[in-house]
Amino acid sequence: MHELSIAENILEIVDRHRQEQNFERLKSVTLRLGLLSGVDEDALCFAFEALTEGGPYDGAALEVEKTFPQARCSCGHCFVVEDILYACPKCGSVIAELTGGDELNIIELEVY
Amino acid sequence: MVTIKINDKLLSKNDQLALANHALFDRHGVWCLNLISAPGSGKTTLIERTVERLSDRLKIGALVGDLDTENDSRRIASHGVPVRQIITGGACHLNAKTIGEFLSHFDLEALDVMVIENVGNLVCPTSYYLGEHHRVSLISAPEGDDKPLKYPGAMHTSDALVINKIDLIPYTDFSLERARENALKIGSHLDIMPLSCKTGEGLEAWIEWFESHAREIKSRRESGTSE
Repeated sequence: MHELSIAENILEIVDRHRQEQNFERLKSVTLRLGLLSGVDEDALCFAFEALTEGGPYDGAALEVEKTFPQARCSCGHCFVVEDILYACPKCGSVIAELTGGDELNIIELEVY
Repeated sequence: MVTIKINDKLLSKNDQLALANHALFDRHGVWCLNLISAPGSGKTTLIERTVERLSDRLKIGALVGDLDTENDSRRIASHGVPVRQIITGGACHLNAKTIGEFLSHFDLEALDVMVIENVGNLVCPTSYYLGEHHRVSLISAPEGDDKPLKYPGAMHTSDALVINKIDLIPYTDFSLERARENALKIGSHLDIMPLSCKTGEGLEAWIEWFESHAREIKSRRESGTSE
């Protein structure tokens, strides 16, 4: 639900850079979105499209790089968590210490 | 074609305002708690039970977010708590800017604790840091023991998980053990406190957790070491 306000945040940042750098058109915005960020990629793309349609950024693409948490199991094994229903591939434990994978970052704009 | 490198948090503007709120709380020695849950898990009732038990020891204020109505703030105000209702008019979460604006209505110097009851929603509020010292997620037994897995963002960003309505467990398929395991799977750091606001079972552990964190901020300010 909050993807709409996240998309508004993206456009505020784009606006700020447009004022500073005076570009004409926005080709794409690249985001980094973690598995634990609580943001739904499809809903965000839908909101971004709805907000940009017919405006100065019409047709701009939203590129999303997904990131995943790193898990450290009590057995010492480290692995990447691509699904929250994970289990340690070495000892089978279903509980590990997770770090990262919560990114909600704006990486770059492609403009011309 | 030109590439403009940004490499920043998308919500950095919100985060900056949240840090200003945080500094304000520290300056006044006020411990701030951000309470988030789905609608109907018992946020308002938990605040009421907490105030009843601690009002002679801690001065507690509350900010209550809702899509509409002032019902929740009225309930909390009936316990003598200074409270403000934030009606978001449809927005699904509170943000740091709104919190900052509403804080000006409080005499923070007269308070030990500010509880923020977020809008009933276990997804959206997790992205918005409000400047709190601790974040608590609340679920209730009838919601199911897989709730922590369905809302990993909430588990990941919270410091504690309260499981309410445990008096209803006999009437559901809820397993406290499974809920605990599912929560720790995402947030191995979580303090997990099962309780019933109805019967009072388990409330003591929560009260102890709440009071010890509030006292820590207060003593940090008194010793002049606030961050």
